[in-house]
Amino acid sequence: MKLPKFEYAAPESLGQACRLLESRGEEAHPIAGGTDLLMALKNRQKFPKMLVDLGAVPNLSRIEYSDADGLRIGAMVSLRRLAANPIVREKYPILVQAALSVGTVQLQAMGTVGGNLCQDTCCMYFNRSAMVRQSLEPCHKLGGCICHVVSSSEECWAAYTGDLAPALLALGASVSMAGPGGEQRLPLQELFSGDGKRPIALRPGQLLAEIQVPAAPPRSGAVYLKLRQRETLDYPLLGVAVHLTLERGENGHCKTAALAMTAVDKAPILLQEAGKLAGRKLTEAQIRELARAAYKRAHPMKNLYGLTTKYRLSMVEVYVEMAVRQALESAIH
Amino acid sequence: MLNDKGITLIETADTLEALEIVGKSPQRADARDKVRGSAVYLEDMKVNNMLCGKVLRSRYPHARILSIDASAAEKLPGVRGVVTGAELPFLHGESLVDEPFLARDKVRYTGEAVAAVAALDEATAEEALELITVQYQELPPLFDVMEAAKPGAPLVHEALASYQHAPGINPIHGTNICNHFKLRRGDIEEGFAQSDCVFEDTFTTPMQQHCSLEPHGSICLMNHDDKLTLWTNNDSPHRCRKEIASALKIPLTNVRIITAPNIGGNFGGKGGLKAEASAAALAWKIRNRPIKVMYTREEEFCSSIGRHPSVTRIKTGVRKDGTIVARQVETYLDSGAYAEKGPTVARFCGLSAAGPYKIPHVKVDVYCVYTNKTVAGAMRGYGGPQGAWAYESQMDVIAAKLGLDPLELRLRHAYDEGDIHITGQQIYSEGLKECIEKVAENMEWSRPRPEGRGRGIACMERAVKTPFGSAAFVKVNEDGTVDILSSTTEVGQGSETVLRQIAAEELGVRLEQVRKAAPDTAYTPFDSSTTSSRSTFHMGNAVKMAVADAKSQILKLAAPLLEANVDDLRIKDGNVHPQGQPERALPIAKVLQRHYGPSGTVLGRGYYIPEMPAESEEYYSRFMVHWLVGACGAEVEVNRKTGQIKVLKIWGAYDAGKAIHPVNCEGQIQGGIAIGLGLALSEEVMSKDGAVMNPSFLSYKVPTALDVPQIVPIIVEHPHPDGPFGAKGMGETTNVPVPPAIANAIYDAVGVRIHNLPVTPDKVLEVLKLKAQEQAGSRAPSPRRPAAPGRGK
Amino acid sequence: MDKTVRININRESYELELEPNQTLLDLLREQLGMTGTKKGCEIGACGACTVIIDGEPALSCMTLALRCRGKEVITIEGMAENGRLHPLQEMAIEHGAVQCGYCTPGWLLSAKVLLDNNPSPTLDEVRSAISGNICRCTGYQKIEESILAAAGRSLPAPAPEGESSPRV
Repeated sequence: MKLPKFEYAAPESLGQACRLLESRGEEAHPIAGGTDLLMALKNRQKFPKMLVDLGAVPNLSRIEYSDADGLRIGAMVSLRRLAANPIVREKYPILVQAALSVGTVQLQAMGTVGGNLCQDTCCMYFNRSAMVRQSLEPCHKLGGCICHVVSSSEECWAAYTGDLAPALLALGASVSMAGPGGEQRLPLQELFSGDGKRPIALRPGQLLAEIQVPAAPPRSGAVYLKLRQRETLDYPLLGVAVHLTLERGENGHCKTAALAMTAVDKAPILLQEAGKLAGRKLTEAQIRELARAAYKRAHPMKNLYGLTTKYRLSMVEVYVEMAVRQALESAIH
Repeated sequence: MLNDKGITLIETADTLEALEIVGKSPQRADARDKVRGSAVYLEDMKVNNMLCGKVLRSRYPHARILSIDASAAEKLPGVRGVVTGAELPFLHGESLVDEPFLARDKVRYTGEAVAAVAALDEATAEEALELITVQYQELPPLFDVMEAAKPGAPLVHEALASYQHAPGINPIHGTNICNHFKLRRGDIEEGFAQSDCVFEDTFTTPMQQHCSLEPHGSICLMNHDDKLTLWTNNDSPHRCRKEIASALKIPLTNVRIITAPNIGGNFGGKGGLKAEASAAALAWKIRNRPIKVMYTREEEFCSSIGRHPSVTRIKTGVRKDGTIVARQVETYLDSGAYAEKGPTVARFCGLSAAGPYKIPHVKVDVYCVYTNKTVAGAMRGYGGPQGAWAYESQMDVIAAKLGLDPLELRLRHAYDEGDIHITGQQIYSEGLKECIEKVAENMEWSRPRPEGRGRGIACMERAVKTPFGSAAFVKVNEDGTVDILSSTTEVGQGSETVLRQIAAEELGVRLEQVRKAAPDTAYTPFDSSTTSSRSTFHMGNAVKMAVADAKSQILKLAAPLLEANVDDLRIKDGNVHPQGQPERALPIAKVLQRHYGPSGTVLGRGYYIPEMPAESEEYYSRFMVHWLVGACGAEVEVNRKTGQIKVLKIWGAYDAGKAIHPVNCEGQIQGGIAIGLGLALSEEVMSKDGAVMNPSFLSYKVPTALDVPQIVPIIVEHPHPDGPFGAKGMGETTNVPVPPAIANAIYDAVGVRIHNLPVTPDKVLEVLKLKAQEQAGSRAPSPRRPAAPGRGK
Repeated sequence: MDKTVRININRESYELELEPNQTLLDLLREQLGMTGTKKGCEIGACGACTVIIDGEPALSCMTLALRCRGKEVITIEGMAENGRLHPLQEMAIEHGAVQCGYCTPGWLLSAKVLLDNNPSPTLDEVRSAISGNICRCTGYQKIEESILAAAGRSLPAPAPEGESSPRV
């Protein structure tokens, strides 16, 4: 399992990195923590001719917070550093939950926030080495024309399984991208293409530079729950993030509500229906209705190894209800 | 009961109490190197001029090989040779000789070795593999063990009838059954006729993989005189030597197996020819160059071995009072493409398929069946987990139906001293009941558990392979230190330390004075295998005998020097002294020096093989020198909304005879239970059309530190009259009762009985939902009601 | 670009010629002969190849050697200082936490990072810290006990009556 040969560059500015990536086009691939990318290289799933190391680019590893602007996280901040940051721990415990649910301790130390968001989609047919994959025809993701998950499908049904994305989506995060056309700021959900084959909507030469999270309002609570078989190492089979803000007073009215999911579609899902809870009191019936809406929107497929698709789907409602209750609890206290 | 070969093996209580080294837990000999990172494993070994070997593997589960074109690979700079199966007209196998070194004529599973490349480095070898083209013609594959077992099924091995096999193995010609093991006791129909209730259930287990942290690896060098040297992490060097020599039709002395100083985990997985076969195939062709083959993790999953997947139909007849009168067991073991150790796994599975219970009428049939899947072989428990999953799950089904206490039901039927085992053997020195009782006591069996929580218990027995021999030499050096020459391998189980303890105790020297070298068949004498929890008992006896031999020589030399009778002399801390006169001590070194001058050394030899009753088989007998027994308890919490299971605590009690190294024994209990926990809840090699879908630690769910609950190890000691210091083996089967203990606890918690391992939340939730519907249905006047799963006459 | 890279490994400075596709694991094991760092899966899932880079735990099989330029790497060979075993190593031996030993270097380094940052961890913190290191031999319990012992702590909450480890 040797790495294939490739060129290596370590640009010292963001501009240099973008120019290099733009000039080499599809041949070049940025490397952040490398945990997702190097596995793909070893498994012969990706074939870049050049790796552009973002490790030497300054200013991508900062975490800053102000009450006015909220939280700004450099794309190269490691998940472990994010989870250890005192401000993050105090104001955004959901990010600590999500970051510490990724892979293992070592992968958290190596993996970055940007890399985690931009990770490739997963599929049990695809995520194996070339040796094992040879028993199947190349799928869409490998340039072939078949999907082993949905055999009749013209498109790739790999699942997006990042853990940070749902948490950040629920918090209303946006991202800054650097690139040929200058810096561009977008809502986080626009980073995701919804294409299983090419899930991240970055153009050649474009890089994710920073993630912005709005200031944490008072009386808010956010929770990320992850379904998996083991307590560590596993990708999510379902991930649910809920973020609630309550109105002042004792009546428990919702000011804002957001719900996001992972591992149940080709991109993380930000559920629009959650917004309807704003201004309303969170009753049992409404929690159930939200859970139902999430259930309808989720499309787990037989693309991840582990529990049955039917089970994963049936857990959507259960996890949403649990997450809402826990978020509510933490908003009140 | 057994013979005494010149030394007294039977210990009195007095001598056991006076032990100074045995029964303590000194630091392991290998631990210091291991924590420093200086312990050498096969993976770390290099030999001068060594090439790297890589293997091309089949992409089809069953296909005829029409042609192999390796010309492009051979021309790649750095490549030193390519070998294919056609060049090696040999077969190998442990008890049934059916496996080529590289596929010949046809491939029988996806991942089978088809060709191998040797190159100057790994990258070149990998690149060369891509340049080999193989033309296949697909053949109909068999993936279902029950289909494969049927008469008329397509054959995985057309030539089964021509294969050599060991006595006691019963292949059925013209079928895919490579062994049919039968056991009969009493009259099964009569037994069922006497029963008030008959319970019939089907239980299944998946393939589990060993997941030794160090993959299989070998370095093979063969010269032009057909002398072969193999450096390997194989668990049993002499068995490996025999398998290679017989296959290649060369004398045993031409084959030298050198075991790596340390082996990174085994659990039964490293006993066959895996990397050994590929390295030997390359060395057969490319002479005078050592060639190293290391498996990747994926090859571990796809192309080594796993535990046999199984289907067991178990039918049990019980009287109203709970007395079990008849049990019929039919087990199908999915051997995959080759027999490997399957035929003997089937035998061991069958010997204990009825459980460690007094049952007058028993009928057992175990079929080991070829399919076009990954090969199955030996894995910790060796047929035990498949059997125990069925019989221990059904014990609780019976208890629930008849309103009996599962603990009481087990204790009522468990073998007692002097009982006749279903094999006809008389039970002796068996601590089973004590294991069950200790678990029950420690877990507070009768303590009520809160809603959603439950507790379960399960026990087990399994045979120790008998009669198989072990030999040892000891060298007492001129300075009084001792070297043990023994072919037992140190795979992590601690045998090196245990054998040193036995030697030091027997001779009367300090533990630090004794060293044990890694095996090398050129020097270390015969041992049948490091398997089956046999080393402490068999090799322990051989070492003890060898030391006793050396000791008697030393005492003879010392007697005139100390002006005492040999019988009156004792050795303590390396000093010989007349009994009761420690002040007249003479160091062993001095004794040797006085006699031999500066070149003094004493050699001792020992060979142990249990003496067998006249009527027993000579190979894989039904008469066991001892049975491995134990019990396990689990407490769990089940979430009714998600079906998720949290194991809160596990207790395990196993009979060690005498714990030579108690901390090691605890480690064997805890480690085995963690492997059992994995099989119970999460581990399953999943395949689709014969290809492994989850060949990595990301997708194959080995428990991590966060998944293993507190495990309470309980060591039971029922001394064995022939064991070294009363010891018997105990490490191998500590995993066996864990899955049924957990499943029984789940049933106790939420009334859900799962028949198919692993017990995952999706399965639990499904049954919970069914039950809820059933209950709702029974409240409402519903016309149709789903039948309760399984059982009942 | 200059292929000569300076890396500090186990408190010694190395000037190395590296290929871009060389992993730190390849560098350590093949080029430098430091075979204490183990190769268990090569895709970052087993933890056997764990080393410490600038104080953080890292999987050397998933780290490009070139990216260690100017960094401080600690491997198992550098855990003992001046010939003295680290307390974690001492306690591993003492508590029977070592069986086959193949995972041992990896979890020792994970535990070292834990204790360097948190000298008196709880059992849960210990379990989390080593949860990226798969061990198939021990069931983890003796490893956890040894780490707590090295931190000068014993297992929390004395077990209720009869729940210790009785020998009979």
